[in-house]
Amino acid sequence: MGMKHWETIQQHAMLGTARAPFTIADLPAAIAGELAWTPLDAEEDFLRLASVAWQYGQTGGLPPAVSAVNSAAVPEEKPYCPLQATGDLQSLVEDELYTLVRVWLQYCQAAGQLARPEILPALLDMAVRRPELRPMIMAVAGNRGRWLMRLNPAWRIDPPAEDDDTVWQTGKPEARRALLAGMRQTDAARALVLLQSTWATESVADKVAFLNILQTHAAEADLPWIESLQEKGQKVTAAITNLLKHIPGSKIVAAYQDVLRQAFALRTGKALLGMLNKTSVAVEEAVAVPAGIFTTGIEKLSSDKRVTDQQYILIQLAMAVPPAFWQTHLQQADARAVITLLQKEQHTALYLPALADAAATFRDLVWVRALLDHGDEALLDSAIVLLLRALPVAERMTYAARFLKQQPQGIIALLLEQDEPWDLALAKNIIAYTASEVYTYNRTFYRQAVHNIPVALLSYIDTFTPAEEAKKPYWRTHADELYRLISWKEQLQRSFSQTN
Amino acid sequence: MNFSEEQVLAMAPDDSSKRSGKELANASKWGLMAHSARALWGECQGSGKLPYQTQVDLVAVAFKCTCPSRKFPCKHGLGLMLLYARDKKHFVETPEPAWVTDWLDKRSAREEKKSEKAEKATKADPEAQAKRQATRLRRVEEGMADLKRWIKDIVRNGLHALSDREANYFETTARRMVDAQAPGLAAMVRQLGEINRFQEGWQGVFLEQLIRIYLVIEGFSRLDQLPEDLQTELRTWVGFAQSQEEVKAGPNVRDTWMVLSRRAEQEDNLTVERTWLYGTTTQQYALILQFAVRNASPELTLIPGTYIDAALCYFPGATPRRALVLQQFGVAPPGAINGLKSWHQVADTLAAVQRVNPLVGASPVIIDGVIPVRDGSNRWLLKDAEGHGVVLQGDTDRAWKLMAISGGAPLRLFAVGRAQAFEPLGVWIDEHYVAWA
Repeated sequence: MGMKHWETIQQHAMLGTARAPFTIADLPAAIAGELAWTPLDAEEDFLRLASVAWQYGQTGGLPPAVSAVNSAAVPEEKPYCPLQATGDLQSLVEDELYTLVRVWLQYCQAAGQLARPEILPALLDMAVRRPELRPMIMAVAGNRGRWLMRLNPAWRIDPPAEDDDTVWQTGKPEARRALLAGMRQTDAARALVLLQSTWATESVADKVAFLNILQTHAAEADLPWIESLQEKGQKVTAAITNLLKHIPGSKIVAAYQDVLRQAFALRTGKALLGMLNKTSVAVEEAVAVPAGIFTTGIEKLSSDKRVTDQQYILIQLAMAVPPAFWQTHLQQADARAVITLLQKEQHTALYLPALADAAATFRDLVWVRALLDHGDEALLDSAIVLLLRALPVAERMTYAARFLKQQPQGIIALLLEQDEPWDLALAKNIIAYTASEVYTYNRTFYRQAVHNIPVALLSYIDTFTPAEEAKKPYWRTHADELYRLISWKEQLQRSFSQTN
Repeated sequence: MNFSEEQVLAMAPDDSSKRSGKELANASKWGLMAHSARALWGECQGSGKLPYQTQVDLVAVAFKCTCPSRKFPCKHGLGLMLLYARDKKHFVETPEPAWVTDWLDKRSAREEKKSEKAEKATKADPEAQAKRQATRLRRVEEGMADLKRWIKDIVRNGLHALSDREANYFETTARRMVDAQAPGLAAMVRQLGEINRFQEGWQGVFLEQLIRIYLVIEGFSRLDQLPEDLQTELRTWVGFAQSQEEVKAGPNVRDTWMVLSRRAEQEDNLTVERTWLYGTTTQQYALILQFAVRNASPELTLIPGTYIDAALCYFPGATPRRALVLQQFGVAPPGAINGLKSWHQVADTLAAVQRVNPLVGASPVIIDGVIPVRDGSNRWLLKDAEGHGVVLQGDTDRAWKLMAISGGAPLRLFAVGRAQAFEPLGVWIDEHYVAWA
């Protein structure tokens, strides 16, 4: 019996036999022909005929032929991850432990393996919701994942375009920015050419964003074009100035240096009855500053009572001048000598943090190290974090351990940003601190930090119990969470070391 | 016996238990972790002075814990078993302490008592019973006559007229059936009333249920002309209950049963758990129903994807499916599974079932070689090797999950359904089986 007859019966049922009686003649011959039929009343007839028709429909029909063509996913080239790892991921997704999901994805990618198909829907859902995980998810989704993304509109994330030119010409703002940033890292000159090719047609927001991207690896080669730009808008002009401040040979930096040269001077006098030379730096704070300087983002008024307006202007200029300038200007042998000289007296020591800022801006690693090694920690204060940020990761961790006591919160926040795990000694130092600050560092912190904490920390958790009784119950809760999280990480390592 | 974490977590009564269980799957939380051939036990420090004693029967999976939780299994039981599933190395093999032995022995004693009781049940007073039955039969027949009039009234006025009926239209009739000692019919009438008449296609569903009730009434009035099994079937539909003792006193089937799916639903204050089993030797399906007042422990813990060596007693009927576990002998190694090869074969099999039992509901089926596809109107279908397809029931998420697992290649599925619509409840991924709750 086709669906049609069952529909007809339903229509009769809706209307009622009083208005639309149903007779054997309404049934298809295939059914009616089989019945020895004696009519009773209209209702009974309907119920009997409907029963037969329904039974016939339940037993007599074959499922229809399906014309839908099924496409098939291309076979995978990489192996699947172990079954246990799949179960782990399922659990992590259910419990919304996204930091550990990230760890999972890293392990899977590092093992050269793929996520098993049964977990792909959950991963693709996540790729839609969390763009930051997309590249990692795509790396483990395999051909099956790409096939599913083509089929399900809900999983359709913009596929990466084939070539850079297409992205640059037609891509979304984020994609274009990502392209420029990536290219600036690998081929700074090419990135500049790319930007020049479409500069005139870019929007204000894009221009500002692109100029900010150029700050990475900003160099003399960029100058002719950037200094030639004639922009009317205030936002773009500010971004241009800001970029020029990152290029040592720019006119702006040269102008700053001129002012500083007039303000700072090396004085040599005799000390200890003329037996020793005494060197110091004299500062002429009331030096004349050309009006043009103040159009480049330099503020005139200090908001800090301990710093005069004149000092504040000089500090801002010092922040935007390559630190090597001081070595030449003050005729010193190396960065350490400059630092020692400036630190000697209070009126020059206050410029030290500005030098730290400049060392970080111009990525002058010699100066960064010299400041960290010889700078007065109390003077540098929060600039320590800036200096650490400028260092390569491995070196950063070594220095971080040294300075953790001075700038614990800033350094911990900085170390959370990196992908690389902390070494055990550093991790122990950090957790010893966070365990004592139970109100600031709670479960949310540990959930984020587990990404960096090495599994070896597991056996030390109990050693971090804070001394104060009032903090103990809080730490107990945090420690439990930490234990759970690191155990998870250990479990993931174990799962990925298994063979299928 | 090896349980996967997935299987252990499937036993959790709710999501929060799952989470807490996972948190307790942490060796540092446990003072003692040990196992013997038949059990697993541990001591977990809770908020109280003494640690909680948690134990798991590994033969016929069951949990016991001294914690005050009303959930079953509690988070300690889940945590302990998760740890065991994850890494058996945490557990030392030692002789069972007294508190474990006591519990296990009590459990097996209870099992034996149950079978004894089953034997006794057959020796009830037959004469008084027959008299009671005759009185009840008369009442049922009177009730059925009323019910038939009520149905015919609906048919005469049409389903569209239902919207004019008073709110207690169905309930009044259901109560009448309860008074007539036909609780089965009462339930059928209530189901009729519970059909959502705002949902598209409700007319078909309503009409089917109406036809079922009509068939029960008509069949019951001709009971003596029908085969014995169908008589029993009809009596069950009307509400003549078969006592568990009687069923257990009947024949039993011992086999290696694969646990195919387990689904718990809340019905009023009752948790109804439906577990489908498949006998690897007999190739029979069995449905185990367990009823528990909210959060009380179901008697049996059957874990999808595992195999158990057990003796089952089927409730008699035209197509015996519902069964009771008479005795569990332990977990078993995986047995062979034979799936049907096409929807054509499924249709033939189900037609044969329908022929002996016109009232049969949705049927279980293991089918090989089907591929999830979408047709032109974005309807999900399961297409077999011959190119025939049935409608894939259930939510879209599940359909996509099947799609991911399939990748366009044929799958072996466990599904429940009838005619041309089936809901997948489990899928084989290579040798690994995944069931959906």
